[in-house]
Amino acid sequence: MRLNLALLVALCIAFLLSLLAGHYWISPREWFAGDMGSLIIIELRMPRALVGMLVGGALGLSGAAMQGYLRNPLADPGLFGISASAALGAVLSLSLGWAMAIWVLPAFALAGAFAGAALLIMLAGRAGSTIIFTLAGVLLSSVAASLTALLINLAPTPFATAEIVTWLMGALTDRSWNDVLLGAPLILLGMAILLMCGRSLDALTLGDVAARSMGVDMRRLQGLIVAGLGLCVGASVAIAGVVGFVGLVVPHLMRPFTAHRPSALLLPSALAGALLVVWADMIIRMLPVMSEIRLGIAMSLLGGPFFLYLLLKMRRELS
Amino acid sequence: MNLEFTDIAMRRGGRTIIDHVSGALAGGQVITILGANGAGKSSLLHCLAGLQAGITGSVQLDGRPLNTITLQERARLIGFLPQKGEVHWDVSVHALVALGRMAHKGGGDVTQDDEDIIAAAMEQVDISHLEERRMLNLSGGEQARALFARVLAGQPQWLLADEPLASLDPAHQRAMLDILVRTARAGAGVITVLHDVNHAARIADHVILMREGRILTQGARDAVLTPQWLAQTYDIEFEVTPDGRTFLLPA
Repeated sequence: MRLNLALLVALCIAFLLSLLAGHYWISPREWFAGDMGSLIIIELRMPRALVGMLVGGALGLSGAAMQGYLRNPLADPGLFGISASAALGAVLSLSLGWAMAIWVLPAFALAGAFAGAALLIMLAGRAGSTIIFTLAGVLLSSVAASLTALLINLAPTPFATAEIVTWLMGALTDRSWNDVLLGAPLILLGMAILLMCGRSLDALTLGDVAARSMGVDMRRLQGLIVAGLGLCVGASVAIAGVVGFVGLVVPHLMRPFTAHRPSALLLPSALAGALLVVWADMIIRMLPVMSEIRLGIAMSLLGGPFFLYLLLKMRRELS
Repeated sequence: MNLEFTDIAMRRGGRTIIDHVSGALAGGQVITILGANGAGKSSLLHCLAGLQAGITGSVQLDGRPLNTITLQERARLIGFLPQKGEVHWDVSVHALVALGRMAHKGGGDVTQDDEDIIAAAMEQVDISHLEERRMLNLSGGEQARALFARVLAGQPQWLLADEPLASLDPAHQRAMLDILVRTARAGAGVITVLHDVNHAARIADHVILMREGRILTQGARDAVLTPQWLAQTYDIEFEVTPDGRTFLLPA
């Protein structure tokens, strides 16, 4: 409880700071003055920060839920193909030129995410085998990536190609209230579903058979996980593109503070995920570069070394 | 309190695992299932716990078919200790044993009553001093006892344990056997798969001997644990001491 409160306070502070961050200084006194400054705050920075919070929260929670369900500390929606599947869905709508209507791209991204999550869980089974799960994730990820590449290859115009490639990099730039209103209900519903799984995930600490003997309905749990991941990841990809590694990094950082209990990890991972993305986006905005670094690329640059650290740690523990 | 199983059969990968077995077990007893490797002991235990998919036949708990009892109620009635003691996250011993109260809480927090039951379960298997320790830092034997305490904390009417003595040293094996007997004497039905005939001879009231998915014989310990039946079960001649309680393998 104390951890959640501390994270919530930190998140509120980060949100306020993110309204200050940018190339133009706008003092808090001018935020609601009705001039150009308040327009930047209300129409640009505020929705951007809220989208960052939604996406970070969704991805952090998705990572924690996936790790608990699959009993695998390397599970992450980005690394194991769910984000790539959502992106494939979204790119399909872009390449078909159907993304004019506001709901088409999110609908395709959601369908892709649901299909990806269901396929991954079906392929991996519930044996909890890290090797099978990793292979299933690699398979899903590479198939989705190659189909996405095929769609880019077949894109009708160079403009469509550029649009897809830019979108794929993941960013919070130019997000509007439409993105917040589109993503918030889907992500909050997905998060509520994943938060319901806590007790079952605790029972899964003892493996599949013990969990079933403790009253866990595995079919229902699988349905909830697929629905929750599909909503969270699909909606995140729809409003911000592919942002990787949040789901891997955040649960790892939070786990020692939650006594390693999967249920206790869920909410802190959501809050810390939101905090991480808001801070990362703030730092990106402050960097003195001509062309803003895309959030997806920044998170990958951060996540790569973290993954290497985890790999080396696991290798040390195995030897 | 009765557990009846009727004409249970199960096939896996084209092979018969359980071959139309039936029986009626009474609570308040220690029932042990013995048999050679692959005889179907663990599979039968899974069937009795309602954890085995794709079986034919029926299991009834006090006349109620197991598949009509909700998963939550079933979890309160039947405690199951799997053979493979999996622990995937480095939780504390207390948190792990507290999982035994999950089916009783109905979504609520752990109450003081729950805490008392958890403490008593840990006391029974002699791990109270390890309460705050992390599971993955414990020895195999300590982990096994903590996992057993989790089942005890559920206070089930039927306690089903699949080889609960694996990875325990002789002193703790003996202590565990005593706990199984005490649990049965307190009123619960205890069904356990064992490998050591002498352990069964020490604690069992009722013995089921299995071979190739079938029940060779079942009944009161002294009627079933005889050199003749054991020879048919294991394809090996046992020698028995004059008191009839210890079975020796010939040198």
